[in-house]
This record gives sequence, C-alpha cells and structure tokens, in this order.
Amino acid sequence: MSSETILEVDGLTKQYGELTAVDDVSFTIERGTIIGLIGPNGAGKSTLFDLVTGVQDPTSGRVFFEGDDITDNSLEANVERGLVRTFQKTRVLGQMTVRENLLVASQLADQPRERAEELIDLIDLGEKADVLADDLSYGQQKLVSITQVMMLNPDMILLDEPLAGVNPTMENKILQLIHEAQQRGTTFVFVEHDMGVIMSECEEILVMNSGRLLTRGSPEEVQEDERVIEAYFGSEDV
Amino acid sequence: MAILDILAELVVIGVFLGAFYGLIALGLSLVFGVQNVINLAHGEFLMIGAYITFFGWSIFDLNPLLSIVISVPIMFVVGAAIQGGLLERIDLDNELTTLIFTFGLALAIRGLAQYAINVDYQSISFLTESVDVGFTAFSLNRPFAFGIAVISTLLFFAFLKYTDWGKAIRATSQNPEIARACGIRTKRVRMVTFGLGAALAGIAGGIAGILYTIFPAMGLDYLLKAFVIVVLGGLGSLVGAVVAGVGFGVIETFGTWYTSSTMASIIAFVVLILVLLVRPQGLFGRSDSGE
Amino acid sequence: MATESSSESKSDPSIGARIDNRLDSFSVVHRLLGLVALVALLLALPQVLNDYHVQVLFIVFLFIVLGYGWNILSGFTGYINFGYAGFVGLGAYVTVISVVDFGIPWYAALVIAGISTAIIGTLISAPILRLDGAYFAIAMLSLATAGQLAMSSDYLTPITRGGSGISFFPALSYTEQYYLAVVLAVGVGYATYRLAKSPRGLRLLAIREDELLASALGVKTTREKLTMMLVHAGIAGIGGGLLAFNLSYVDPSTVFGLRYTELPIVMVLFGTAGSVLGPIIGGITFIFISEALWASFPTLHQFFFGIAIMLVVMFMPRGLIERLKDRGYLPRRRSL
Repeated sequence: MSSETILEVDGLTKQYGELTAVDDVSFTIERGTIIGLIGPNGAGKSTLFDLVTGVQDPTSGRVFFEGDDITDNSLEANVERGLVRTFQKTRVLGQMTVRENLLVASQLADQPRERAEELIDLIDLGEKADVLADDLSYGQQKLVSITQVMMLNPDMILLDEPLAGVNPTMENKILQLIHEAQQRGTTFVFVEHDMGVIMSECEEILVMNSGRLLTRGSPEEVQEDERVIEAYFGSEDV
Repeated sequence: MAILDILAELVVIGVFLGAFYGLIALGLSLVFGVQNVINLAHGEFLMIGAYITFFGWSIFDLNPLLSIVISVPIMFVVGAAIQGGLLERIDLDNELTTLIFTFGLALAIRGLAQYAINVDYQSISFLTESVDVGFTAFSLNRPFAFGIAVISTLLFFAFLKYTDWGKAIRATSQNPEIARACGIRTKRVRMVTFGLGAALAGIAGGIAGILYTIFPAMGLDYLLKAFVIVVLGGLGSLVGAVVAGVGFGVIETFGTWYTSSTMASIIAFVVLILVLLVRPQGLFGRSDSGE
Repeated sequence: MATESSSESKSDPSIGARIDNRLDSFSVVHRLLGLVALVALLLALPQVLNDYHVQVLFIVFLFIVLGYGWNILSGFTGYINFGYAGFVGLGAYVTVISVVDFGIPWYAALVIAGISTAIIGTLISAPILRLDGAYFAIAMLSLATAGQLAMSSDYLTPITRGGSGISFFPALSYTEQYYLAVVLAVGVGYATYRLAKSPRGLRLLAIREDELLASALGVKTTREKLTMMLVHAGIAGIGGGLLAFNLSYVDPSTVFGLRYTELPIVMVLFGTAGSVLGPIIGGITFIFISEALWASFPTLHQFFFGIAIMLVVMFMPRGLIERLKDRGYLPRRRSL
C-alpha cells in the first residue's frame, strides 16, 4: 500500500451557537484507500463532509489536500482540485435525462461524451440513458449521483450514505463502481450504517460520536472496541 | 436652530416613521416565517387598506381610527381567501414559483385599482394641526399614527403568545413537519397567517393614508422598504422586523434630510445592498446540508 | 447527436416521435435554407403591410428580443429578474444621449447602449447574484425602482433632463426599425438555440434545478451566472435603444415602465422558461393582446397580465413547450 497522504484534517471544529457539531477532529487519509466513516445519527459525519469540501466554513482547524491548505476553498474550487462528494439526501437533476446528468459534470473530463457512455454502460443504465432522472427508481438515482462525480475524474470521493435504502442488486453495482474507481487510484471515504458492508469493504474505519473522533482502526479493531459499542448501543440508533 | 434640536427632531420623526415601517415589515416577515413565501402583493394589501380608510372618511365620514378597525376583518378575509383559494393550488415549496405568483397577484390588484379608481392622488386631512413640543413641531397625525402602530404591534404579539392560533403559528414557523405531526392543520394555519399578514398590511395602509398621499401604485415603495427591513432584521424574525423597522425609519429620516425626499427609495436600495454585502447569506443563514 | 434521440419506443409513433424523426431527416443545408426563407419572408412583409401593421410587428419582435434577453439569465438559471425594465430604461437613455448630445450614429449608439448596460448591470448585480434567488429577485426590483428615480433626481438631471425626458428625431424609419428588430430577434434566437444544445446550457439549467449540486459537479456557478448577466443586460440595453428610436423620446416612467418587466416574464413562463421557442410562442400569444389593451385600456393592461402570470403559474407552471413534450406532441429535445 502506498503511504502518501492525500487528505489531512487538523483540529477541525464547527460550532452553531452553543452547539458543537464537529469537535476538534484530526486524521489523515492515505491515497488509494477506502475508509469507512461511521457513528450514530447526529455524530457530525455530514457536517464533517461539509467542512472538508467547503460547503460550510469551519469555526477553527485546517484541511490539507495533497499537501495544500484548502480550508478556505469553495466547493467549486475543491471539485476542480479533485476532491468531490455526494450528498446524504440523494440529489440528481430530475428534469434532465441520465445522460445529461452526467454531461453536466463534463468540464473536467477529457472526452466527456465517451466517458459518459462508458459510465452509463458500467451501471447498466443504457436503456434509461434518455429517461428523466425523476422517473428513475431511488436506487437508480443513487447510482446516477455517484456516477456523476466519477465524471469529474476525482482523486478523492466522499460518499454520504451511498447505500442507504438501496436493494442488494443495486448495492453490488454501487460497490462495483467504487472498486472500479479505486483501481484507477481514487481514494474513498464513505459514511454507511450497514456494518456488514463497512467491515468487508473498508481497510480502515473512522468512528465519530457527538462531534468527536472516537477512534480509528481496522474493521476488527473497531468491532471489538468497547467505546464504539457503547456509542452505538448507548444511543437509540444502530 | 441648534444642532441638538435638529438631531432630536430627526430621531423623533424617525421613530414615529419606524414604528409604521416595522408594522409593514411584521406582516411580510410573518408570512415568510410560516410558509417561506415572500409576498410581493404585500404592498397592494397596504394600498387596499389605505383606500378602505380613505373611502370611509370621504364617503361615510368615518373617523380613520374606526376605518382602520373595520379594515382588519376585511383584510383578514381577503388574505385568508387568497391563501386558501389561490396559493394552496401552487407549489408552495418552490420559492421562485411563489415569488412569481405573488408578483402577478400584485400587478393584478394594482391594475384593477387603477382601472376602478381612476384618480391619481388622494389624501385624508385628519389631525393636521401642528403641535409644538419645544425642540420641534409636527402635525398631530404623526403621534396618532405612531400610537396605532405601537398598539397594533403589541396586540399582534399578545395574539401570538397567548392564543392557540398564535401558538400554532409559532410552532409551524419553527418546524412545519413537527407541527403537522402534532395535529396542527397547517393549511388552516397558513390561511390564518396570510390573513393576519394582510390585516397588518391593512392597518399600515390606514396609517399610510393618514400620513401620505394615496394612489393605486403606492404599494411598491412600501413593499421594497419592508423587504429591506425584513432582511435587516432577519427574514422570518418578528421582533427583528420591528427593531429593524425603527432603525430604518431613523436612517431614512436622516438620509432624506441630508439629500431629498425623492432619494428615499434609493437609500432603501443602498441599505439593502450594504446589508447583503456584509451578511451575504442574509441575517438568517440557511444550510442545505447537515444531519 | 446522442442527446437528441427520443425516448419514445418505435411501436408508439406519437406525434412527438414523428416530429423527432422528421427533424433528424433535415440536413444542415435544409435548415439553413429554411432559416433564410423565413428571414426573407419577414423582411419582405413591410412591402405588403401598412405602417400601422409594421409598427405592431416591430413591437412583437422587440418583445421577442427582450424575452430572449430575460430568458437567457432568468429562464435558464432560475435567477428571476423583476427589475428587467431598469436595464431596458438604461439602454434607452444611453442610446438617446449618445445620439442627441454626442452626435454618435444610431448603430454605434446601440452598441454603446448594449455594452454599457451589460457592464453597469453586471457590476451592480454581481454582489446580489451570489445570493439566494429570492434576494436577487427583489433586490433587482428595488434596483429598477431606484434607477427610475435616479433618472429624475437632481444629481442626474443635467444629463437626463429630469422627469420631462428627451425628445429627438430618430434616424431610422419604422420599416428600418422593423428590419433591425427582426435581425436582432433571429440573432438572439439562434444564440439561444446554440446555448440550449451546448454543455453550458445544461450547466445553466443545473444551476436552476439545484445550485449546490451544480457546484459539487464542478459547475462554476458564479462565473456562469455573471456571464449570462452580461448577455441578459446587454440584450436589454440594445432592446431599450431600439425602443427609444421607436418612441422618439425617453422619459423615466415610460422606458423604465413595468411593462418591460412583466411582458418578458409572462411570455417566457408561458412558452417555457429556458426553452428556445418559448419567447417566440409567448411573444406571438401576448404582444398582440398587449398592444390592443395598451392602446385603449392601459390600466387594464397591468390587471390582465397580472392575471396571466397567476394563471400560468397555477395551471402550466412549466410552460407550454414542456406541457406538449409531456403529452407526446413534441419530442424531448433541448433545442425546442
């Protein structure tokens, strides 16, 4: 495994008035890995994604991507640098066809049309290429939203619950898509609630609770960590 | 005249004016807070209120105070009917759709008034006697208007705080989904809210009729000022609207004293741009993502 | 082109699918010939029509130009400009002052009007364009009001002659004005067609649908909006200049009139915002009505178009072209 650091988060904190949504979180991520980010609802996972990608500004702390300080970058600037994300609530452009949904993200691809066809084939949506995204099933929309960011040839993708509410067939397709990209050298961090998937797919797992980074380790280590079990079973949500 | 006298005069007139502006902004902010609709016909509701008071005075010889009281239920019904009959039929979640719709509504009401009334400028001469308070003199209708604005504002806040409908409105404003889950019928709440917004505009219209000239296209100016105030105070914040209204009244009074009264609308625009520049997300931030 | 193919299956030859096939069978030469024939026909019309009819047609084409100008920003990106008349008025004033006070020829005056309105409009609206669409909409409304007042304010009266305005003898006859309006309308129509088919057109529509997602997909939203604002304000400025030639005078309440905001809005919404044919369909539908009402019942004009906006939002929120696409009467093409 390569040991080059692609993302470094240092003391990242976000406060909304009295509430601290993300509390002094620090970690590094190696290039080419698949990292899981888990934690109960409200642990601050999506907010952490927002802070890293420039959707929201942190109260304090820094973010480094490929060695450069990107803390003050906008989302657009980060996308251009190769750091992209999806959203927890699935977002597609409902009034556009599947193909158009991919072509919107064409500015950073070398041969956008060819790449779009290739990705559509990969997710087996060839027959639906001219169908409006609003008319797709929920799982198909998830697929499209992940494929969209792949159009950008990113170095790193943050996926916010890519598998939530998706049937097993679709889940396999999404995982296949992730593996395809990883072989091209893309780094992944993904938020997921399905422990089985997290354990089998991720090389390492970050655990958050109440805005803090609780622990980090291999699936086996995390599985046996008492604090993790407590964080999950201590809350109402597993 | 000593500089302090001028200062005191401008502050007093500014506060008088500001309470009236706050009242206009209150209705606009209320409707925004509960249903995320910026009602561009708010100025036209104000215009209707002004004409109710004017015709009450000119045709039936009614005291404007009485006309203002009468205009409250009328405007409430008008507002509730527009919400129930028209706005409920469009996509209320789409901010731009509602904005365009209320723009059309404003044009329709204004056009109808221009067609039906067909006279350019009218005014109510009521309490025009001047009163000297030492450092300045003003006509009696100004403190009268101030009194109505303050009393209406206080009654409105009391309604919100102590009645069941008021509580339902506040709950819906804070979280529509939870309010629905608690059994609050949000369509009814929206109708009452829009009715109240129209009634507040109606009262403000009566005041505008006493203080200024009345004409069918008068609403736009008040709408724009109210919008600036609502942004200043934080969209959806009711107390903010009242406080910012008073602040804006003082700013405008000083501004027009320095320049000229035709500059008032330009001042409003400049204030708006400055506020938006200093707080780009408005004074209320909205996050699109998050858990 | 791949994006152009229809989703209709072959077993169901709906009208839309048949139109789709027919459109594909036309070659580039066919299309060019068709366009040339159309323009020739429009330019020949003054030979058979009287002056009044030419004047009415001029107004139709002027509003089609203004409609395209509004559509290119507000229709595509969803940033609704309620202060469009402010740009029209500014363009009218710049044109007239260039001609009257500086003796600049009419064509150069129109170019100056277009460029200066584009620059001034973009500079003023740049900070507002970064905000939520609702702020933009109302800030622009207040900008237009402030602009109208500024024209008659003491500070600008030496240049603008205040509320009484400026009268002048336009260098162009009604027929020449009509030719100009036709050429401009075809030009902006063609530009919109190219935009709608381009990746940039998709990016603009993505901003309208979900701006945050558009950013996440690498769309440089602020830059795209500002570019469209330049074009949008520039077209309004040139349209305003053309209007001033037609009126042979400018004054604040005429050239800043709400009519130049409300008609483009209702035209574009009725036709379908962000479409290519929308401004033409809306223009043909509404401008004749507008002219008839404007001449005899100017106050009812505002009432009628207010109601028209409300009805379109209530019963056809996505416009006629989208409605026809949904029903299968038109193919699902962005180039319509």
